[in-house]
Amino acid sequence: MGGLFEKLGDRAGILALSLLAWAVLVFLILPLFVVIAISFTTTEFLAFPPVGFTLRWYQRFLADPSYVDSILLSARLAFGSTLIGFLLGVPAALALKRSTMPGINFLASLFLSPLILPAIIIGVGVLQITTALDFPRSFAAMLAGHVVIILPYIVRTTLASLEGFDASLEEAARDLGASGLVTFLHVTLPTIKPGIIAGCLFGLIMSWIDVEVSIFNTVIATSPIPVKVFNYVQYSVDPMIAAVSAGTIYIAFIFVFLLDRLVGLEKVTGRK
Amino acid sequence: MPLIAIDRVTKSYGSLKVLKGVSLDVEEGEFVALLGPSGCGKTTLLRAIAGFVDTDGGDIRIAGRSMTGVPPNRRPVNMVFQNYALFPHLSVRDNVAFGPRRSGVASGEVAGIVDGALATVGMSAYADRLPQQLSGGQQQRVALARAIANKPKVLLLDEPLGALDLKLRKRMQMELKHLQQKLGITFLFVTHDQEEALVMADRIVVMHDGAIAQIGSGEDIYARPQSRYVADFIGEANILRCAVAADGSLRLAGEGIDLPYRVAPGTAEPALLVRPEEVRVGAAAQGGVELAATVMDRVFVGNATRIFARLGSGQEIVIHQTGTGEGAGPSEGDAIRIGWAHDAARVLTS
Amino acid sequence: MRITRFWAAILLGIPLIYLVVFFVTPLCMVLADSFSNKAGELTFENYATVLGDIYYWEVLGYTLWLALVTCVATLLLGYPLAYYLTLVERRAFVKRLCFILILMPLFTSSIVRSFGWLVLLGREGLINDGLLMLGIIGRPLRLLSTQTAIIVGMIYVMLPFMVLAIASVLQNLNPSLREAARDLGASAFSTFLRVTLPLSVPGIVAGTLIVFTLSISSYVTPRIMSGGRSVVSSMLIYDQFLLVFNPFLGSAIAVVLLVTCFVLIIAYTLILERKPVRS
Repeated sequence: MGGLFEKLGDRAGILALSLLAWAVLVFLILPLFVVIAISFTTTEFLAFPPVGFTLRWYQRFLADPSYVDSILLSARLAFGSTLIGFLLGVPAALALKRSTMPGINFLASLFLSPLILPAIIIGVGVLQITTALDFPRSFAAMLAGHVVIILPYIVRTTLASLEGFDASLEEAARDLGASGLVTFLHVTLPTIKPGIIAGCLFGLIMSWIDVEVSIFNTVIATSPIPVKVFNYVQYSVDPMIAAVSAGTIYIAFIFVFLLDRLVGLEKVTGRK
Repeated sequence: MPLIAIDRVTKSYGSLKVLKGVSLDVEEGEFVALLGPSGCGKTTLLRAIAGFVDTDGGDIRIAGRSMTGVPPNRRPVNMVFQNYALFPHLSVRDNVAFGPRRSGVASGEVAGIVDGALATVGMSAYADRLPQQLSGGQQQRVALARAIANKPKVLLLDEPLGALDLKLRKRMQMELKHLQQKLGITFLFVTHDQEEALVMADRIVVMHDGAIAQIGSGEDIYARPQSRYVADFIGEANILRCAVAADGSLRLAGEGIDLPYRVAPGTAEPALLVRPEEVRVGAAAQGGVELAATVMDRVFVGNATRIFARLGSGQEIVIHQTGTGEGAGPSEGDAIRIGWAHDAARVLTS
Repeated sequence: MRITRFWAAILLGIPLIYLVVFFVTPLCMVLADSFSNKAGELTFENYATVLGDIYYWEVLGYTLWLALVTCVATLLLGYPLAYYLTLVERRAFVKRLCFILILMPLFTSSIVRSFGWLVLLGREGLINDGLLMLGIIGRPLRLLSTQTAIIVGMIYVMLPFMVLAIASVLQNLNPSLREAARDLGASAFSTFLRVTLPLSVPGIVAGTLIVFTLSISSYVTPRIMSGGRSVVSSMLIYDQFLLVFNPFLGSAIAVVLLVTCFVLIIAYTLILERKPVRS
């Protein structure tokens, strides 16, 4: 009987835990759901639940060149900084993992440290250096800053995929007649590819959603979309800005989808 | 000219000497096993031949050409790795085609080579699978196919059966042996499993502590081990400590019984090797050795009975009695006479 | 395959130069600026201002308090979700759905997420409507620009980081350990308390560290959710740089924030090292 009660108790515990977990999940998605919902309202003010259904707000923001420019700017920033981050991060990760040079561990933590440093301080610092180098508040300045904040993501995931890499695969390739370069291109690279893709996707997204670094390095007239939304929302909110915001949520969904397709969502938590 | 000539090869990792001047010749078409416990240097030697370990001294020549400074991809050898090292992102077909593509085989011929190699190991039906979709035994076959597709002069195998279960391992042992006979390629095979070496190899190289302890055929090494180490490592052995009388005749240590064996006078700590299956319960044959013993334990193992006995000197001896049915033979605590034929024992001086 | 120093230098060289120019040098410049004035002289006046004025201490204290509350709350909410996701839920498609729900906010800008809360917490927002409908309150509460709003917003933004950090550790725990505990007679709850929880400490540490550092420097969420009524350190930095145009004082505030953050993190890790967690 005691066993039965205990079993029931365990069951109840699991049920309570599941309910709590789902409550937290609802908490996580509710604001996004609300933003999307109100972007379809026919009212001139924010109404939840939305009244009717219209795509008017989407039409309005897509007809506004300043929003389209902002989105394009953000996209250029994201792809540009990710490309640079890839070109810098993957070779760096290879060297960091494979070299036995003294001080290599220190260098590894240097490459990962922008991750734990307040982004706002990186933003300020980039403003200072680009002022000194005479290109402050420009696309190039933002690009430089975004590369700094996304580099750790690419380095980290590439390092992680090299960590689980079976060294005998490279030996097998060499044994079968492949040169060092061919081995890298045909064996090493394909095996660590998921890690690199995950890193680049994270890079794209971190650049795409950044406010802290961009805000110090942009001028109001041309700012990336999150900064533009930020400047708007501080003073007023209306269904059009909901439509713009909803647009960025759709983009986030595309990224989640790509991550699932190309890498697998469970890999996000680094299953060994 | 031997196909592989290993000449006084040395290798150290820091202060640890892994290879202490190993010399070994392997002839074309031979199946040679490098046998020893882990840490004896056998895998290091194999990897040195493949080119993954830079040796400190000595030279390795394959088909007369020195391999010093030659990278792994330019050596006429191929390896079957311990965990197969199949490329997880390539299909079975592409795994096997990897080598031929690298060595500049015309693309039209690659398919034929791959099909041939896969047919040889009986894996033709799995060409389009990915390695992780195969069982351990199937992966093993693909690894073999991949290694032979390049038509190496020597196939190196690093404990290739270690990851398989016992039944499959036994079957693969025979298959590997037949494959080697069919292909005629020299196989150099690393294992810690003496049975594997005995079943497959033409010649066994017993390694111990970075050096070669003995080289010979399986029968040779089993019947005529040159040291206690080899005697103990191959098969089961009773190694009885002995003292030497002034004239060089042996006396069982602590027993005071003279034995009809001689060594050079002054030999330090000789021992007598008697395989358990050579020991008989009861009176010895003419000219043999006969001793008194007490039965300590008795274990029925199916096709035989094992008797653990103690000699008067306290040395223990194992007797492997075949053909005796249940209930027969001495039981625990019995005082018995044991013995063996004169030629059944072998004097070990090192 | 090992690589030689030559290749390591080639591969690392350019990335390293980049980091030195756009990361290390800027930080040094911020540090140097904090000891300068408009005339370019060496001075401690910025620190005198920051450390001498009770206002700055209050802002720093509030920033740390907010980060701490966020840490504790995300841990309490995030742990059950991480546990459910990794150890309870077995259906692959449900797991996938959970991951989508966790990653969606993470991949959305903090400004958009805060915007969502503005709508939810408004006078006629979903929360007030719900409470009214249930009869819990008689008239709409003022939720916007309150401490509740700031804390809810911060928890919301940081929660995915905590969940992922803990889940990654729980996911890699050897299941036999839990089975062994059950086999040895532990109840489900004591298995959690004596086996799973102690073993997941590294995830808790990683999660709290990342949430703490991100919270301490977050700017967008406090600004939007407080409606300017509460001030955190990052707002001061922003104002000094972009509104008051006093980058020297702004740098000093940044350095104080950074040093405080480092000291606390080091203290935290030291305490954890000195007191190994016992079951």
